[in-house]
Amino acid sequence: MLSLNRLTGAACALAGLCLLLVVIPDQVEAIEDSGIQPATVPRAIAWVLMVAGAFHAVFPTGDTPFDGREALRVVLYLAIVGTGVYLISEVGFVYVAPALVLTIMLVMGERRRSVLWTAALPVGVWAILEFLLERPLP
Amino acid sequence: MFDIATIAAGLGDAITPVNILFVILGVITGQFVGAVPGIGPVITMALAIPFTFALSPLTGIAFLVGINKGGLVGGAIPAILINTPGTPDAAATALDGYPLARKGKPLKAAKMALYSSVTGDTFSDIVLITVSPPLALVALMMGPIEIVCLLIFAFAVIAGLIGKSLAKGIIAAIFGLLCATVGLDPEHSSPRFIFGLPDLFDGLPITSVAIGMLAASEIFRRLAARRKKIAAAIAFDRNQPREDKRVSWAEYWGCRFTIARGAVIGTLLGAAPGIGTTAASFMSYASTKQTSTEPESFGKGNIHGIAATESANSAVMGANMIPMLTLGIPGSVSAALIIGALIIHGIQPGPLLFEQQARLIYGLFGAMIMANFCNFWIGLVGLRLWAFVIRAPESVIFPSAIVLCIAGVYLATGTLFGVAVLLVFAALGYAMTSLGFSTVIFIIAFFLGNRFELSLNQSLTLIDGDFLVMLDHPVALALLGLAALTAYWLSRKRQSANDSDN
Repeated sequence: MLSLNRLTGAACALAGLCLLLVVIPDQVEAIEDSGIQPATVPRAIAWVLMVAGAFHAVFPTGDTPFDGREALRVVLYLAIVGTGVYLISEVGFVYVAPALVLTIMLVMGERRRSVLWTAALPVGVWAILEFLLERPLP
Repeated sequence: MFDIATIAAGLGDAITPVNILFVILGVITGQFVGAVPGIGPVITMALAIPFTFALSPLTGIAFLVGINKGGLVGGAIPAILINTPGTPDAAATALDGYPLARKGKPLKAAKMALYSSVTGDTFSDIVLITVSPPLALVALMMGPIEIVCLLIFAFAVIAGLIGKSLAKGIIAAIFGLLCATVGLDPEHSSPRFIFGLPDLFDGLPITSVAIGMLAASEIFRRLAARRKKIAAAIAFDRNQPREDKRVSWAEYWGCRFTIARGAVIGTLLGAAPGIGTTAASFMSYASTKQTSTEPESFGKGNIHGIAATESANSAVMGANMIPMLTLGIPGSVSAALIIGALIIHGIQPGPLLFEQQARLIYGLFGAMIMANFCNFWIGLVGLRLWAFVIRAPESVIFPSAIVLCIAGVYLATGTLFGVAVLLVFAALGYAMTSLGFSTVIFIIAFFLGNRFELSLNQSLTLIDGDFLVMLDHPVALALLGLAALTAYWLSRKRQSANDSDN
């Protein structure tokens, strides 16, 4: 997987360049009459990132245990949880969290009713936090 | 100096049924909240302070100390069993604890964490009791220049975690430092990399980044790993040999140097205010890996990895009390809360505390030692209960762990923005490990980055272009020398490893 290594090295070098030319000037203010600017450390970081990325693109080393199918499934689970978090903000933890757990269980392939009922566990978490520890959830 | 009678009276005050009861209550509470990601002992101590009004000063402080110490053990339990650190301090414990649990030895891993945690904690308590005044003077010499040099030394030690690819290690560290620069810059308080999001003014939430990078990314990886049949989260053989469920004396004794090193690192870093437990545990882990004869076994369930991190992060707690009791300077948030409780009870911490309240202080020391014993025995019982939890199938454990991460991060950060950051860093953590970048190096650089930049800015202002000023800072020079020696030794080690590979 040396080509993937080269690609990530090039991407890091490009990210460093982008940081230096676009992001830092746009997102970090310059302060007048100051020896140490807020951009000093980010600039140094960008330079090191660029040099290390370029070095890695030219002389790639190390393993890249990347699995495309697994990565796609990770994206699927992230999308499910991301949607769940959005719904928690809209509807509330106590209603959405059990549904989120149940969805993940079903996507994992769990079909046993004796196991699926445990999707109600977040209600217990909510009750402990809400009533026992008095720490409200959304 | 105090007479033996004062010390004996103070220790005697600690050993009363009421104090013992509240220490036990505190330890149980601490272990419970420590095991729930996001709550942690600090929040619980803050919530418990009002309840100490009704108690005597010693009982109230003993209760808070119990919570704090219990939290140290509690945080490690979910880190080992479900790879979800209860507190950021326990993130390093998951590195070897969880792989060892996955090998079917969760009780062994958790017991090693408990034993080394209690040992490290007891060591730092003994240091606190015996040599706190001179150590506090050393801690007082740690100005910004010394802190920068200490962090350079820490980075040199941690460089030992860089694997085969030096470039990848540097890139991981640089990304960590970059993420640490998000928020208000430490010198001028001007915003950096905010992208119009007011939530980022305080920087990226540490809890979200740590749990996202280390725990959630691994949970997503395991969710995505295709399996034909859903199994238990951790393979538990009912006929498991006894040696897989316990830590033998030989194994514990074999870790004595690891535990001692971790305890010393934790005590030294804990005595210097503001460095934190997480840095201590990662530094101890890195130095243990470097000095090990089998460094390749780290991250795969090496018991020394657990001993190194737990002894170090627990040793910080006692050491945090050194500047607090001797100088009135809190070494951490939990120490600041204890100062608050002392003040509420009309006691002013500081240099005169040992003269004016000697009996109370020795009572507190007695309560701390008592809390260590309680931590040990209650921890042993608690581990058995947790072992039942992880016998559940992974279709129960992983979704529940995700919901716990969400609830915990929400509680720690107070907004769902923190949860969104958690998901972003879970994705980033997965991408980094898939491409062979170390998430551990990223996290260490992230934790230390802010402090490093602040101290660097302060140091450069102090030095003001005249580097001969450094000659007035012998501690800083010694630390720089140590950092140079470590870097040289590591490069020689890397060179010889490359030579043997070829």
